[in-house]
Amino acid sequence: MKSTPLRLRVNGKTIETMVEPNQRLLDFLRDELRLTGVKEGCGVGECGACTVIMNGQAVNSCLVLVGQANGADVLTVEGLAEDGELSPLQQSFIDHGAVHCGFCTPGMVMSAQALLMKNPKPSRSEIKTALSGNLCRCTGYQQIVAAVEGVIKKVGADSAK
Amino acid sequence: MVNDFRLVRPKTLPEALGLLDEFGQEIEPVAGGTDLLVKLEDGRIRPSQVMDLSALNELKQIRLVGEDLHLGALVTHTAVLESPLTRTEAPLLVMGCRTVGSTQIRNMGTLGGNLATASPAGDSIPALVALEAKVVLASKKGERTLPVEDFLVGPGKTERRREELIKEIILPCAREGEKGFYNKLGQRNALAISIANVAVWVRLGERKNTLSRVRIAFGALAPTVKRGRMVEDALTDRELDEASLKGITQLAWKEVAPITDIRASAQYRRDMAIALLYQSLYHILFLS
Repeated sequence: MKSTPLRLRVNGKTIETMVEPNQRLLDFLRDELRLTGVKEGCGVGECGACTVIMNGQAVNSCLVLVGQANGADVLTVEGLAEDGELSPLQQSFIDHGAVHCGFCTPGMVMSAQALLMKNPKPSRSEIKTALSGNLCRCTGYQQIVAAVEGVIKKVGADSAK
Repeated sequence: MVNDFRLVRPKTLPEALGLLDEFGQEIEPVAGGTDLLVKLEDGRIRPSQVMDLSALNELKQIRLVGEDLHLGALVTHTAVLESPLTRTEAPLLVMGCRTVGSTQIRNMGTLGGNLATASPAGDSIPALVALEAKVVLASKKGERTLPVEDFLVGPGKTERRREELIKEIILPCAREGEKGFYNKLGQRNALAISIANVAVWVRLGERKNTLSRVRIAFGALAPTVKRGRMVEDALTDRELDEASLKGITQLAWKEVAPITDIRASAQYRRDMAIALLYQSLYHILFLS
């Protein structure tokens, strides 16, 4: 029963609706808002495929009750592109061949995005720590770390121009 | 989808305690949700009401009070890592919190939640026990304070009564001449439940290579996080070198009571208790 009122921002848009309190944020984003870039892998917080940014922090949306997101600001992979253009981070994933089967990619991108929002110039080890909650079963970790390092260099070079 | 329940979201601590007073038997409090959501999803618990604590901003503070550090129950592991106060006043706790889960789990999981869940392998707990931290429990009727060590009763079992919430954790600030080391063994570096871990806190002695006070806490090596008082006594006020350290840390074998499970055998865990303790003390005495 949709008994609980919910108001939150998702990808910059304010949403007011009624929800079931026993719904996970993951299900709400996928099933109600059709934001299917949010993936369900393990459902227990171990794979990171469902990672979204909530109030500036990377979280596993499978471990958040939608009611807990009341008043929150949520960003999913769908919110990164601007005017139909991929974000520099998304483009860097493509340029570095960091996408294999693609299932872990949205979660990886969101974990990297959360890191860059907090720390625009992370070290290699800080990147690895930030991505350590995201599993890639195609084992493309080298390219993924390179993609994050690449966007730091690129954005640094662009702003120096 | 998880079972049907009513979700309540109090805005203040008195409101939350009032709800617990009224519905304590049927209400399940949730802080970061990193453990509870998993239990809800696989049906291990089926509460009729879930009380989300995440709006209680008053429990998210880290404060210096005299010589003590007060950490609200809803302080996340990430907040512990990022706070300038914890970095200087509670470096051992920072080391423990760094090994919890993953970035996402640390962003959501809270100190109070880690304590309330009372997993023998909870990674922040050995640091709290080694620091002789206290836990403040609040109910509608008032507050009581217990040492964290006494708060933990068994796997998943604590002294918390149904009508109580963990309000805050209090620990003494680090002082000159004190050192700590946290050492965790998991199957990988991230997202691994501890096979064994140990937190060591010491006060350096006046003479070189001596310790005037030692506190040791073992995690994942007994039904609850456990102090190693025999080893502590054996290490106190005597000159230590590699050989004596090797000998004394063997006593850890007698302090722990591990089980065999999918992660490791009891024998392996005992051996690792000794190895992790030796490494920690070696680091404190000879490498830092």
